[in-house]
Formats: sequence, structure tokens, C-alpha cells
Amino acid sequence: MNNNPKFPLLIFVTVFCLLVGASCMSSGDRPILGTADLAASAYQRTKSTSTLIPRVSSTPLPTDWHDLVPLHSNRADAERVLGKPQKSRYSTSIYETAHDRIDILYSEGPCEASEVERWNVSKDVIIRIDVRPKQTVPVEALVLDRNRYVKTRESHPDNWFTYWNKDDGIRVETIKTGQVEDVNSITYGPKAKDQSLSCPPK
Amino acid sequence: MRLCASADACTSTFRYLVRGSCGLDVAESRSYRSRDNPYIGGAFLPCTWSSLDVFEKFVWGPARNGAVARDTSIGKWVPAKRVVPINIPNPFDQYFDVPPETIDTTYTPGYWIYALAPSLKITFAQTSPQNPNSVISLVDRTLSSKRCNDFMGAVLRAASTKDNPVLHGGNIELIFDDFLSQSAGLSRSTLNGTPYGSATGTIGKNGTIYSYLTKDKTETQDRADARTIVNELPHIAGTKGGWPREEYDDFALAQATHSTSYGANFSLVGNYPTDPRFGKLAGRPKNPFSDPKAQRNRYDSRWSNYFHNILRQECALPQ
Repeated sequence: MNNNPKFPLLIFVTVFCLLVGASCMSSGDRPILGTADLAASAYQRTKSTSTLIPRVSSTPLPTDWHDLVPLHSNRADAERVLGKPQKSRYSTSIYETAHDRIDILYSEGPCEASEVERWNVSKDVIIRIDVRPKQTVPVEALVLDRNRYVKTRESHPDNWFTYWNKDDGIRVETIKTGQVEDVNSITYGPKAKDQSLSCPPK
Repeated sequence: MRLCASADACTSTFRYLVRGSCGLDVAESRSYRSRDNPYIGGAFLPCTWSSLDVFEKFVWGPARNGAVARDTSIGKWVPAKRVVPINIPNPFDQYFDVPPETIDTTYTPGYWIYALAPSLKITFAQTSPQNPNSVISLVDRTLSSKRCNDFMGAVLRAASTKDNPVLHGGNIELIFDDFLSQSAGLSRSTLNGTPYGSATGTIGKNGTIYSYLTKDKTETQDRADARTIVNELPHIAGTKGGWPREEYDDFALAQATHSTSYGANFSLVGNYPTDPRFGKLAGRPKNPFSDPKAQRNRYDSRWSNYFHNILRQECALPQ
């Protein structure tokens, strides 16, 4: 007979885990959580934390990233949120945080080529923000509104998918691994209502 | 690998694979009829067949015939080839007492040569250079950006081999021009038995990229086509083409990318959770270069993830 007072609790947890299955499997010391829990933990990120990813737990993915709005916010606004970038390449500033890699593409000037983009906005205005989570985040955690996001399967690699919300200028790219579709990147670009700022092709 | 050099040289290994063994184990096979031919799956086969021949006949061949080979109008099957060296002096004879029949044979797996699908020109015929969101315009704008151009050039030059050198020294814009000027191009159809996003043939002759036909609006389709071209073009950038050649496959391009400074841009870090829903990758590193198991498997999906994760950072389509 086991006299450990915690024994009944251990039995209960074991049986519960057997019934629940995957959600109780461990990854080292950290338990692997179910999708809802992932949304609540891996995505429970606020401005007060160092991760600088908006809180999306149990609420849909925000249409702006930390109030930075492409074609309206500028470099100074971005640096107020993120500080100075770790590095820059071409027209992009790159930030590495504990949880994400963030690339911000800035305009080189009105209708100037800014990598692949040309918009009629001043120099140093944000054109695009790419957020790449370093953690595994199931797409369900973003609570995407299927009426606003068009899902497209990529031709190659064929286990990649894109969710495009044209109105809000948001693209979510996912990779399906096994049965789990996890987020590769979230891109915040110009919104549909700002298309008048696009430049005609040269 | 050759299991039976001759009727009398069958190894015990082969006996486990077949019923009967070139006459050496008569008792094992009641169906034994010929000393020279083992009995497998209802047929007597030449004893000199390798295990690859056996798989070709009983596994790959039937699978292919059942799924793909019904419509031969879409392609031509080039059968597997075994080359048995005949009358070739064994250069090691002077050093070792190696009987000539133990010289291994070479084996080339069978493969399809695809005929061009009739829908190949549809996409380009429908596109207009004046439309900034046409497929060609989107690809042009993407590939002409210095960032993408530099990346493609660096990786393709690193992947280039003596046997299959990269076209135009890796200048992806010129490669795209060649792709457009040939009779083949992009197809929104798919071939039976091939996945979406396949790229086949040789640019300049019959280089073909197969894109996924979306069920959404035309704009979405054009973007999907453009993204497919940007992602697939490097795979057929060799002067001798892409698949079934391996020089520019996901594995080769991942290795090439890793050998450049761009390798540091891979954004997927750590391991997949051990959650069994991640399938066989559960608990394994996301970066294939961190996993010896991936190193042994050219077709591990992480090679594709690696190369295309970095490519999409460097060659994002215009918004």
C-alpha cells in the first residue's frame, strides 16, 4: 500500500492524461498544451513583455501590429516600440526578440523602389511588417475569421498555406507538419483602402 | 546491390526475399521449377535480378501502373535500366583474386518524361504587361529586386555543378526570360500522380511548372501562380534541367543556401513539440542541419522548409 498522500492525485492525473492523450505529453520539463492552451500561453504576449507580439489569446488576430500601420506609421514609430534594429539589409530593418524575428520594410521615398515595393509615401514610412514566431504556434491560436481570410494552398512546398485578408492587408503563412498547421509568418501590409497610394508600374 | 551474380552464386540474403533461391534451397519452395529462376509472386525471375529489380516489378511498377501509367498521353515512361558490364577488364584483378562476376551492376531507376500539357500557355496568354498584378509582372518585380536577385544568384551559383551548371551564371532574371520565351511554361493543371508545384524539364526546351488551381478569385490565382514560379524556378535552373536530376532539388538548394551567409536567416528554431500530432517530426529539430536523421534522407520535408523559408524572406511578392 502506498502511503504517499499524493498517490491518489498521481493516479487521477495518470488516468486523466491517458484519457486526454496528446495534451498531456511532455516536452522536456514543459508540458505540451492543447491548442486552446497554446493560444493562452504561447500567445499570451502583451506590450509589457519583451516578446512584442500582440495579445491574440481568445481574440482574433489584431488588424494592426502594436498600432503600427503600414503606409501611415514611420521609422520613429517603429523604434518607439522596438528600439534600434539589430541589423538592416537593403530597405529592411531586422529585429530579433526572444520569441520572434521581426522585419520592417521602409519606403525609400515616394514611388521609389523599396525592394519589391513602390508606394507614394515619404521615405522611412513603413510598408510592411513581417513577424516570424520562433515558437510553434498552431494557426488556430490566431482565431482567424474564415470570412475575411482566403485560404490558399501553396503549390510548392505543398504543405504550406497562405491566409490572406486583403481588406486589412494581412497574410498568415502556415506550414502543415503532421496534423498540425503552425504559423510560419504573419505579414502586415497596406490595407485595401490605401491602394490609392500604390504607384503605377515603371 | 547485386544479390545473385549467377545461378550458383545466390546468397542466403536473397533466400529471405524470395521463395526458392536459384536452386540452392529447393525444399523451401514447393513451387521451385528452375534451378536458375527464383519464384516470386507467381513468376519465375532471372536469378541475376537485383533487389531493385524485384521492387521494380512487384512494388514500384504495380503502384505506378495503378496510379499513373494509365494515361500514357501525358508522358513517356523510361524504364529502369541495369547495365551489366561485359568484357570490361576488372582493374583490381592484378591486386585481388576477384572473379569478374562479382562486379556490381549499375542501376538507373525508371522515370517519366512528361509530355507538355495542352493548357501550358493559358496563363501567359491571359496576362497583360499593363496589368501590374499579372503573373509575369508580379514575378518580374519580385526577381528584379536587388535583394531577391542577390539571393538567387548566390544560392544558384553555390548549387551549380560541373554536370549541370546553372543557366546564365545564376542570373534569375535571365533564367526567367528564357522560361518565358520557350514553348512550355506554366500549367494550372497537374499531372496524374505528381504533386502540385512540380517542375519538370529543361528551360529553353520544355521547362514546365505546374501550379495549383485555386478555387478563389483570379487575383488570388495570379498571385498563387507568381509565387509558384518564384519558388519553383530555381529547381529547373540547371542547363540540363531539374527533376529527375537532383542537382537543384530541395536538398541541394538547402545545402547551397546553408553554404552562403543566407543560411543564418532560417527562422524556424528549436524542436517540434513532442505532441504526436506532429507525426514523425515530433520532437525533432526544425532545422534539418541540426538533425543527423534528416542528413540521411534527401527527401525529408525539412529541406524544403529550410530553402523556401529563406527564399520567401528574400523574394517576397509585392503586396
